[in-house]
Amino acid sequence: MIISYQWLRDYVDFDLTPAELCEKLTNLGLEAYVASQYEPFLNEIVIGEVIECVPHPNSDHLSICQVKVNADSIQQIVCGAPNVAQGQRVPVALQGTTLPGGLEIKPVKLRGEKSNGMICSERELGLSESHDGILILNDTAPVGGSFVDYLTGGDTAIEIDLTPNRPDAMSHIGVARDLAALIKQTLAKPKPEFRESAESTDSSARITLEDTHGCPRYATRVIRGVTIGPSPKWLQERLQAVGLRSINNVVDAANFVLMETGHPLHTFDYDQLAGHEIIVRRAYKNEKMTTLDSKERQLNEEILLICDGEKPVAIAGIMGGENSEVMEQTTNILIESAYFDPVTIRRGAKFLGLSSEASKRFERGADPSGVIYALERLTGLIQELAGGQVSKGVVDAYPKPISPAEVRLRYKRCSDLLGVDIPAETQRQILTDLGMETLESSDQETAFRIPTFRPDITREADLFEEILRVYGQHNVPVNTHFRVTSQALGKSSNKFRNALREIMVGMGYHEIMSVSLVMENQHPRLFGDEKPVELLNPSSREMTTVRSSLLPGMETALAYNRRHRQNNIHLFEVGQVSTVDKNSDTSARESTHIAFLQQGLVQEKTWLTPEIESTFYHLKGDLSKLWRSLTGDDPKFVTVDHAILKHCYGILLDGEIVGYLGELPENRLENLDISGNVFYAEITTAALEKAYWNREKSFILFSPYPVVERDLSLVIDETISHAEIQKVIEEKGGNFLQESYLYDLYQGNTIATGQKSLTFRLVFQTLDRTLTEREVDQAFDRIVWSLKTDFNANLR
Amino acid sequence: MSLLKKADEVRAGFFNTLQEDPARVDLEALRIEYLGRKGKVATLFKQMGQVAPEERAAFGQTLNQLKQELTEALDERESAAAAEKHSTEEAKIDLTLPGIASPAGTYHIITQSLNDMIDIFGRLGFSVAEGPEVESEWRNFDALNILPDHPARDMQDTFFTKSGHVLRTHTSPVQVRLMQSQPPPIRSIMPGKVYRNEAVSARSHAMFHQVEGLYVDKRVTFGELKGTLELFCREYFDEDVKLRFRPSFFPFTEPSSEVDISCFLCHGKGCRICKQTGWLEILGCGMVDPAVFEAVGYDPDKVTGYAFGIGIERPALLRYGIPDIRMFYENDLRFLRQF
Ligand SMILES: [Zn+2]
Repeated sequence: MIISYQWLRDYVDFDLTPAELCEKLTNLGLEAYVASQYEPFLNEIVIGEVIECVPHPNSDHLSICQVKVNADSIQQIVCGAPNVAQGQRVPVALQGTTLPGGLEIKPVKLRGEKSNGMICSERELGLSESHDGILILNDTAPVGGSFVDYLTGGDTAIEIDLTPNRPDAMSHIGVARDLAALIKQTLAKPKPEFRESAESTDSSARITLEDTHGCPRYATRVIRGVTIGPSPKWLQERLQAVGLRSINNVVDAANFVLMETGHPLHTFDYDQLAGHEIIVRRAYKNEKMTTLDSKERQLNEEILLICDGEKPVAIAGIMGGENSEVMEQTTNILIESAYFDPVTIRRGAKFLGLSSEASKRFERGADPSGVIYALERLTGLIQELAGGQVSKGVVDAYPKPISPAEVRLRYKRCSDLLGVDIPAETQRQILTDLGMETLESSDQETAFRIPTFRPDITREADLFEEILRVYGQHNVPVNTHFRVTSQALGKSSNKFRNALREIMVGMGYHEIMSVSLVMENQHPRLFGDEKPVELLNPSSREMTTVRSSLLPGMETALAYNRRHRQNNIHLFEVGQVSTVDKNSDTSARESTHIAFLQQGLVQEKTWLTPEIESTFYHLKGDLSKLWRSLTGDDPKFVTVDHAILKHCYGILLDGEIVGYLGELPENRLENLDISGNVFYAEITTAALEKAYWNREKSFILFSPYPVVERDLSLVIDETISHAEIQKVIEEKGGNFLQESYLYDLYQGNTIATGQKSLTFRLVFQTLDRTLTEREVDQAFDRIVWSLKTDFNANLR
Repeated sequence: MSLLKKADEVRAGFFNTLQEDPARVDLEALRIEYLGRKGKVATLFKQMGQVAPEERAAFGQTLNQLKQELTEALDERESAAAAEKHSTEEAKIDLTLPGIASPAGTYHIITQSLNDMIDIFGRLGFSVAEGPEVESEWRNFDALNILPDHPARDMQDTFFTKSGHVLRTHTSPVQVRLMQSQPPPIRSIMPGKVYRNEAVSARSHAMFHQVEGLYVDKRVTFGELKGTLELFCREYFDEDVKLRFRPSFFPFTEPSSEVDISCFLCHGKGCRICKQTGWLEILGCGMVDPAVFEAVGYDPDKVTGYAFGIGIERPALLRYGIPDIRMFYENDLRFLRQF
C-alpha cells in the first residue's frame, strides 16, 4: 500500500524526513520504505525553458531551440516536435542520460546543426503512450529543477508492507493514528461538512438486507443534480501520489475517502437503479454479471450481490457493475457505505480471481462503526466538488449492531512477558492513544473497550502486542542471563547421522542433498513393495510424490556430474524417505536412509601411485568399515536375487535385511545415459542406529608376546568361495589364531584351468607366553589337512 | 697367551679395521664379528672360567670396558655414516614433487549450516527435536492458530497428500508434538526440511530447510528472546552483527517480530545484496500465542514461551554469494567440493 508523505500531514503534525518517518513506522509494525515510483533515469531529467525557437534551415519539420536548463546554462537542442514553441517549460534530457530503449543522449549534429540534448514526449519518458509531441509543463515549473519533483509535487510515496492483521492501517488516517500515538501528537480527523436538502433519504431509496450475515450494515444517501467533471488539481495530485488514476470528480472523491479513511465506498448512478432500491443477497446458481471492467463474471451461490429492484448492480465489496456506473451524463447518485463479512468477501474474491482496493480491505476486516463517517465525508466532498442536493438523513440498515470487544489487561503480566518494567500509566496511555477506551480500572488491571476498527484485538496477548509496538521492541533490554532448565541431550538421531556422515566423509565420499519430491515412476522399491506417498496438488510433473528411496536422487546427481565431465564419483546422502502406512495418523511412515555410490576410480593415478578402478569390493569394504565403526561388528551379508541391483548382497542385522549393496543394472545406466559400472548401497538406518547406541565399548586385553605369522598358499577349485575357505581356517585355527586374511588371489597361466591360487596370512598369538614353533605348526597343519580333505586343496 | 693380552689384541684388531677406508668398512659386519652373540668379545667372556678366581673381578671389568669402548666407537661411526648418507640422499630427493593425499569427502553446506546452528543453540541449552515431513493438517495449521480460512492453507501454498495430509510448511508441528508429549519446561530446536507449493526458480524452491526454536517455562520473557537471538546471530553470522527487531505478525506468536541483522557483506553501509538498506531480513520470532498453548493442553496463565524460526538456504546464499538456490540440490561436485 502506498501512503503519501504530504497527505499524511493532513492528519498528524510531524517533523520527520521521509526516511525517518519510515523508520518510525517500521518500528510500529508498519514496515515502510520510500518507494521509488519512477525509473531511475527520470531523476536526471531537468526542467528547461525554451527561450528561442527558430526553424531549421535545412529541414521543414525540425526546429532549433535555445533551452535554458539552469540559471547559467543555455543549450542548443534540435527538436522535431510540431508543438514546440518559445516560452514553454519542457522536460529535457541532457548529455549522459539514457532513455528507456537504450537511447543515450550525447552531443550530435542534426542536418548540420549542433544538438546537445532532447526535449521529451510522455512516451520517451515512459509516462504514457502519448507521442503527439513534447510534454509541455506548467509555466510555474522551476527552470533547472528536477522533473521528478515536478511530477510528485515534492511529495514522497511511502510504500507500506502491511501484515494481514492490520486492516485499520490501510489508510492515511489509520497510519496517522499509529504515528500520533508514537510521537505523542493528536490525530486530526477532518469533520464532514455539507448542506442537506429537504427531501429525505428515506423517500429516495429503500434498502433491503436479505443476507445480514454477509452484509451486517448498509448505509446510503442520495445526491441529486451533481455535475460530473474533472477533479481539481489537488485531488488529482493526491490520487496520483498513491498511484491511482483520476477518473472524474465523483469517482475520485470516493477513492480519496477510501485512501483517507480506509473504508471502501461505492457510487451508483441513481437513475440506473430500478425501483430506486438496494437489495443485498447472495447470487443465484449460474447467475452472471458484467463488472466495471467490462468483463462478464460467472458467479457462484456464495457471492454476495448488491441488486436494484431487478438485477445485480455490483458484486458486494469487490467491484461495481457496468450497468450502474457513474458516467459523464450522470446527474443523480446513490452512495453506498457498507460493512461486509470478511470471509464472504475473501471467498468471493478468490473464486472470481479478482482483487480490488475494496476487497483487500473488506476481506481483512473493515470497520462497521466507520460506515457513517466515511459516508458523510464522501457526501461532503461530492457536494464540494460536483455540487448537488444532499438528501436529508442517512438510511442505515444495521439490524444487529456489532458490539465492540472488551479485553482485560493485567499490567504486571505485560511487564513480566516482555521482560521490562513498563509503568501501568504508560501502558494505559499507549492503549488509549490507539483508540481504546478504559472501562473499569484498578492499580493491577484495566478493562478496555476495543474500537471496531481493530478486529484483530480480542485477547490480552493482543494488548501486549500493542503496548510493545508503541513502547518499541528496540527499547526492551537484551537479556542474556538465562535460567536454563538443562535437559540431557541423550541419544539424538542427529548425533547418529553425524557419526555416519563423519565416516563417509572420511572415506572420501561427498555428501549430497536431493529434492525429496520425485516422479511417480521414480520409486525403485528396493525393499519390496513400498507404496509412495502421492501429492494431491503437485506443482510440476517432476515432483508428484515423496521419495521412498534415495536412489532417484543419487542417480540424478550421478548423471548430472557425469554430464559435467566429472568421472570419479563418490557420493552419499542421508535423508528421510516416506511410504504409505495406513496405521499412521498421517497415513505415512518415514524412515532415515543412507545411500552411497562409487563410480570410476577409487584412486586416481599419480606420479607415485597407480590408478585403482572402483569395484564391488571397494564398496563392500567401505560398507564394512562403516559398519565396524558404528556397531563394532562386521556386517553380515546374505546373497539375494534383487529385482533392481545386480550382484547384490543383503545386509543382515538382527536377522532382518536392513539394506542392499550391489551394482546398478544396464537398463538404469542407459536411462541415465551413463557408461561404466556403478556400485550402490542403500540402508535403512533404524536398526543400525539402535546397534550404534547399544554398542558396548570395553577394553580387551592384548598380548605383550610376539606374534607368529605364517602364510598359507593354496591352489583350489575355483568354485570354492573365499567365505568357505575362511570359515575352515577360522574353525581349525584354534585359540592361538588371532587373525587371518586373504592377501593374494591369482588365476592364470601358472595355475591349472578351473583352479585358483589364494594366499592367506595367518597370525598366531596368545596372552600369556610366546608360542612355540610346534604349537603354531600344529594349528597350521590342522587347517591344511581340513582344506585338503574338504576341498581337495593343494599347498603351493 | 694371557687373556688380558687377548683382549688387547681384540681391541687392536677392531680399531685397525675401523680405521681403514671408512667407505669400505662394513659396520654391521664388524658389529657382528666383535659384539655379536658369537663374536670375539663374547668369546672372551666365555673364557672367564679359565681365570683365577681372585683375578676374575678385574678381568670382568676389563672385558666390560672393552665391550663398552667398541660399542661406543661403532655407534659413533654409524651415526656419522648415517648423517653422511642422509645428506647425500637428501640432495637426491625432490621435495617439490606434488604430495599424495588420502581421499577426503565433504559435508553438504546445508548439513554444515544446520550443525553450526545445532552447536550454538546446544551451548545455549537447546536440545534437538525432530518430526516427520508428512504431517497432519491439525499439527501443521490448526494447533498453531492458523485457522481454516487462512491463505497459507490454500492449495497454492501448501502441498497436500492424496490421503488428506500436508507436507509440513514449517518445522513448527514438531513443537506441537513436543508439547503434547511432555510437560514444560521445553527448550529445543527443530531442524528439518519443509515444503511450499512454489514454482522452482533461482530465488525460490519447493523444498528448503529451517531451524525453529521453542522455549516454554514459567516467566519466559521477550527480553530473553532478544538475548538468545543476539547471541546466536553474533556467533553464526558475525561477532559485530547488529539486530533490529520489528513488530510483525504470525498466527502462532503474539507479540511477533521480524528480525533484521546488519548486512554482513557491507556491515550496514548498504550494498546490492541488502538493497542499500544495510539490513537483511533473516528470521521471525515472537512469544508463543496463548491459542497454541491451549491447543496442546498447556495453561497459558501458568507458562509463557518464545519461538523463532530461521531459514538455512537464504542466509547461506547471501553469505557465500551463491547465485541460485537450485545449486544446493543440483549436487554438482564442483559446488560440493567448495564447502
Ligand atoms: Zn549490504
